[in-house]
Amino acid sequence: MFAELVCQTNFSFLTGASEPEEMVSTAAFLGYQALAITDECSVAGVVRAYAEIRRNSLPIKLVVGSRFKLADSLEVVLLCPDKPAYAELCRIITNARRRSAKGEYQLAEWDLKSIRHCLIIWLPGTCRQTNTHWGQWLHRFLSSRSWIGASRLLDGLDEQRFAEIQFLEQTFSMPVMATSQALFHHSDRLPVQHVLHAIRCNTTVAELGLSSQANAERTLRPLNKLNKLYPRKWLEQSTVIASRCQFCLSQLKYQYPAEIIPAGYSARQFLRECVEAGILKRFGGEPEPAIRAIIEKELSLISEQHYEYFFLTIYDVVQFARRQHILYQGRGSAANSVVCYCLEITAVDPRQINVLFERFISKERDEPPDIDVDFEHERREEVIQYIYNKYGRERTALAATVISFRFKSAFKAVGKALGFAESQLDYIVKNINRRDKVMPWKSQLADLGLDPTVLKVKQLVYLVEQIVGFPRHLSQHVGGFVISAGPLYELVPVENAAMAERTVIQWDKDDLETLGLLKVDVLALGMLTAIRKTFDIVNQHMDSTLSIAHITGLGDDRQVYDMICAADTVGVFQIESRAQMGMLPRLKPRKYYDLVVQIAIVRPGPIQGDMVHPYLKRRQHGETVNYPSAEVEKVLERTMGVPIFQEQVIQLAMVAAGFTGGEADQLRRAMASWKKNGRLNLFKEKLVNGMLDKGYAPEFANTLFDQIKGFSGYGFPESHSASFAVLAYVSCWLKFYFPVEFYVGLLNSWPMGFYTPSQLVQDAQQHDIAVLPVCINASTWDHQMVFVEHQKAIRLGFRLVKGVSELNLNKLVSVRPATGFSSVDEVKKQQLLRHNEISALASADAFKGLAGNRFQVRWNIMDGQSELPLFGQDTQTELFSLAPDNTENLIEDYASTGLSVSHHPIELIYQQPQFRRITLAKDLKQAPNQSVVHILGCVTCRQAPGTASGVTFLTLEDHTGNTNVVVWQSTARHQQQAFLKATILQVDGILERSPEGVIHVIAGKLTDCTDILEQLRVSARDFH
Amino acid sequence: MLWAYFHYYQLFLDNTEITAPPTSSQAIVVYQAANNRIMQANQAAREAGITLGMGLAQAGALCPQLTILDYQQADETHRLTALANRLYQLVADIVLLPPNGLAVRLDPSMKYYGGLSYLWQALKNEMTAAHVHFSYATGWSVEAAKVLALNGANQVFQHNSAIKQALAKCPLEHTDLTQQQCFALHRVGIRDIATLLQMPVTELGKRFDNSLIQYLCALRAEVVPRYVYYHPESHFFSSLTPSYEISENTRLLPWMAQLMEEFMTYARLRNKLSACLAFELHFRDEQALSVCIQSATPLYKSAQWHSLMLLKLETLTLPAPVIQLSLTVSELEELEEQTTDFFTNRVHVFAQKQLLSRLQTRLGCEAVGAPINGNDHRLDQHQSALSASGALPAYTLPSICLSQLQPLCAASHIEHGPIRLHTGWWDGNIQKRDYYIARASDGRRMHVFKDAEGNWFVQGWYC
Repeated sequence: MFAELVCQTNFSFLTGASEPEEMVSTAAFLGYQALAITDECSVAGVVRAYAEIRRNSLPIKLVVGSRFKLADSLEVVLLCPDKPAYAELCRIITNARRRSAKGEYQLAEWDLKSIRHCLIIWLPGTCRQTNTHWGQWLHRFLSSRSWIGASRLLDGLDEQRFAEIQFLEQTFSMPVMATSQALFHHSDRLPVQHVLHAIRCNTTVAELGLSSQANAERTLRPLNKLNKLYPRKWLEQSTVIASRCQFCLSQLKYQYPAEIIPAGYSARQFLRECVEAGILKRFGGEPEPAIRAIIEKELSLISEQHYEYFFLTIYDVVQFARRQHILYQGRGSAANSVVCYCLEITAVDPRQINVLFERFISKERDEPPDIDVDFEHERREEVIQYIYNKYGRERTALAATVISFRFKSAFKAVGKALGFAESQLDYIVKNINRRDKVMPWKSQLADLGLDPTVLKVKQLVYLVEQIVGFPRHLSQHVGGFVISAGPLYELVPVENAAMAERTVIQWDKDDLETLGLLKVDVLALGMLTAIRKTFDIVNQHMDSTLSIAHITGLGDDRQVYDMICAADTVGVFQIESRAQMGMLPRLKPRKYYDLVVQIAIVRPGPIQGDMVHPYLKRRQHGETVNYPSAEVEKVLERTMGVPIFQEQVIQLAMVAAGFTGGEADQLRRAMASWKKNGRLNLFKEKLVNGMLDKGYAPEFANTLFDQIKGFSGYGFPESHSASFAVLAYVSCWLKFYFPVEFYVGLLNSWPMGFYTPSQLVQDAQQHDIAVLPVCINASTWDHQMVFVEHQKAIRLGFRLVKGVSELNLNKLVSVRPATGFSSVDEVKKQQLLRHNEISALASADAFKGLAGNRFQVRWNIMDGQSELPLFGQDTQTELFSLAPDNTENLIEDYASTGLSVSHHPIELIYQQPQFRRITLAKDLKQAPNQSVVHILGCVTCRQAPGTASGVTFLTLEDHTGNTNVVVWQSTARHQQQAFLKATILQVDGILERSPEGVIHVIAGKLTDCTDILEQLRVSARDFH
Repeated sequence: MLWAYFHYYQLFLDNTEITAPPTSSQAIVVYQAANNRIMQANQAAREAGITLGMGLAQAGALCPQLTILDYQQADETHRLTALANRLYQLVADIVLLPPNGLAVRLDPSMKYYGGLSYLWQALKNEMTAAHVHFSYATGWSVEAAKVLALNGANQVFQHNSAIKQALAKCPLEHTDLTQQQCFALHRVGIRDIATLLQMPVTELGKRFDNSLIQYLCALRAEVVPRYVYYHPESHFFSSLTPSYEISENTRLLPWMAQLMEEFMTYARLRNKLSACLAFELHFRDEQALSVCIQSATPLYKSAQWHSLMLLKLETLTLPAPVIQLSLTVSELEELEEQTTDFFTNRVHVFAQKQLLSRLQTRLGCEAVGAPINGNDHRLDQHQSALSASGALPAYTLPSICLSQLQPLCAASHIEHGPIRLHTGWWDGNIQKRDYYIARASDGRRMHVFKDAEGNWFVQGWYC
């Protein structure tokens, strides 16, 4: 019997060449008694190995450990016999990692000296002097728990190594154990290891030379081979060590911080009290019996699963946000919980959606609840700092995100390691169309100059496929916090993130989920900032208290839904993209749940799963739906028989194919990572057979599986959609009733959302809202709502001007006289702005009221001598007579603020004779369907969604609105120059109007008109 | 003063297109990876819509069958130097403005040529013979001529009024002003030279540093900046980057001949000779290969070198397609020197070279050299290795390595091993062997291995 106790996976980044799952599966297949995953100063891969063993009930024991190097002269592996040893290992890794920059570690002698629980395998080198030194050291400090690891690697050094080991064994009486120091699970992975090694050393495989692995012996070797290579005694020692290692990851129990519970309360009591208080607030008294029943059911389940601390921790965080007037909203499966609604974590009224608490917490699935809370994006840091301050940095860290090789990074890195020229790789990567369904990327290589029959190209293709998905490094999760009762480093190692003052644990969200550990997601959402800012403006001027709950409490507003149905949704949440706007007049949402469906349906999942058209047909034409069974009807009736949400797919698998909760959970995970590992196909047979057994037709079974595949990676959970729909509705409500405040709130929260300030201002102007330019005497840093002749208007703020600082401008505004500055010199004399800031303001025409045109002001500002006392004469303007024309003003506006409130580029040029036949966006409504139209506009968006089979959607903007243009692949291909290069484009095409009034122009001829305003740089946002 | 400026706007590209047919429809661009921009594009590429400054992805999207050359500024500068060498035959006052421009002072040479038109014709003929694309102009200063040439004037201006008029229309982008200066001027509405020159110098002086004022003075020829005139190097170097990869020896000959002709022109003008042409062939993945063509005596006829090159190419095996080639001639001799000395030390050096050259010609270059340890686990890679990393394998290498493996026939017993090699997949020379040190019955130690099929071979012998 044998146990491999020194084994590195690909979580020893760019060293190990097999995944943890492959390692444990192979070790089990070979009949090893145990396998230790010992990545270098890391336990990042162990959870995956643990999950694989559990998933497949593999007959192998997993030992947790880690490998370390100390100052290039000592290599040891630490193994965890028990839980204290595991805590010790985590502490050592944390200390070593925290001493160094991200991705590195520095082990100190003290770390090893302090070991009291871990077992040590020493991997001696061939230098007698060094070995003697470390042998003495280990003998002195750690003799009772140390072994010598002996490796026979057939690399020419075996004899020398064995001689050393015999010497050390005799001198220090240390037992010897056998190990292969595995780097991969099968010898086939040797080339992958070579390539990773070359990437790590930033060289080519050929140039690695003698530093590369000479053979494939560092793999998991069959027992009969090991029996030939090692003395029996050494092999037996490995099993002796393994049998001492009784620690299992399942022993990790999470302790939540206790300080959130007031003295004298148990967690259960306190949660109950908070919920009861919330019930009064949310329902104004005792809720209806059905809701009360759900609350009781939830509370008992929470109690059974011991999740009280988790709920109370999040409750504490959101209470902080509430006190600080930071807008937030819970989403994720928490939206399915009435308790979360009562604790004010979510804003979704359970009476409005079909609450299914099982989707949130299921005893059968035994998976931790997922509560994501979005906060205002500009103020999330305050929440993060609150968590750090409250629980301390020792007890708080972010979850990790494993950054893996994607196709592009793998192609470039492998290509470089094989010696391809970098510019050639760049060119190929930029020109490979990964979405081409007809021609896979491998076939495209020939067109891009790589001969697929050449050995090196074959190797490139093979190795790229091998390496895609391999972990590259750990990064920080966007906001998933792990908080513990004791020091976190006793639970999982903590390391430095790239961002200063941030630390991450070594496990990602899947690992945490596997181990049943809870994380608190503190996420950032721009729309919350915009809504809060809009509320502030409204409340300030109206003396009211507008809030999300207030708006949703008013019920569905007919006028707001009219606006939504007319797709007048630029700037609102979620339903603002052109795809969403195209769907709104078709789906015609009239109530909250329609919005929930609308948000989820315009996604690649439902589109690829071919679910959109059946749903629309049933909704528009009221087709009757035939359900194959009552169970299926129960799952699908709220979406007219079409599975639209991820939860529905899971539920279908359970009710129609007889999946257990655990299996359904595995299916959900497989769906999430189908593109990566293809595990989903393993479920096909079970799913289809399960449905056939239950009497469903084979067509129904196969269609469902195809829909599941379509959903993979892109499916949208109903609970997310429900939370998003609240914000979508609130933003629409604000846009309808308080448009000026809404635009100001949006513009003040930028960057966020889909549209640029220029597009938002265009939209505001098209809604007959006056937009006033930046002015030195009227603007503040933020955009403001002002009154012009008793009408609300938007005054643009200094934040729009490129190259000025908020601090300086705020100081200037604070000293601005009530009557305003009288000259540019007065502004200069304040000495609050840097020279280039004054120039930037001049370019933005902010001094328009004080001096001449912007050229003159800039010219005056450029004069450095006039600031000197003896030269302070203001006579230069007489010498300078240049003045900008309309076009130059436009160019200056765009260059300095990214938008122009006075002119639109198209407004300036469409009067020219060659554009006589042009139809403006606002006039397209009158043009007959299927007629030929000529349109002209700035290309503000190019989108080629993967679901649109080669079609590109362009958005052309003129001064009256936006027009959607559909460009077929062949049209684009034949007119590539205009298609790819134009910023101002004329399209001659056919107008197509759907029965609901959605207008598209199908492009025929494309003409690049950029030269007409050649200096204008209206940068298009390209989405490919 | 009258200066001419030649702006070679696609010099790098021209360097590679010498033998490509002029009607070629293949789109070729020169690409600078560091800032992701197209630097130069041939006619076909421009017709496909590719413009200078564009990124690679957009260029690739516009023209899928695009040939991309990596821009190397050093190569372009070498080529510019070669052009200066050519012009040096005609005029002496040349100022190099790397990487792609040179200015020639015309007024001192006009009287030797009998007027500007004859001088200009001579210069133009020489440039035409060099097969390079260029725009040109004349002006009262290098700066003025350069702006006009960059603006594509392609005219010989003689009169100040004409120069002034032409200059006025030029945009600021074609001047030597920095990007920041141009930007600052644009933002006050000054976009062309006419507007700039109208501004009082004192006002400009208050707003810009001295460099702008000095440049304007030079542009107006009010001051004459100091120029470093070009002097040819004492050794010859030139390089070429063909627009396609050359894998056949015969295709290599015209490119080598092109370089050799350049050298002959260079040498003839200086009354020099050489007995050694050192070509260097560059490959994409392999190390560069030096091809030295030597003659026992210095040669002065192209045809003689040509026949030697042919001979050399017959025996040359290219390890990979050639992507670039260069010629360096550092040992130049005066034409008369070769006959002056008969019995001095030089004869020995000469004889040594002759012997080496004979051995190499007879046995091939590969056969004459010193053994070097290679940085590779595979032993057969050691002999052909050209450079050593300094690292040595973990085990003792045999003293004698056999170039041809011998099957192990003699009875022997294993003394040491195995050392397992499983490597070399990347270059197709995969080796899967177990090496041993074995002792033969006669006592000799052998380096033997067993291959994957179980066959035994002798790799070498220990002394």
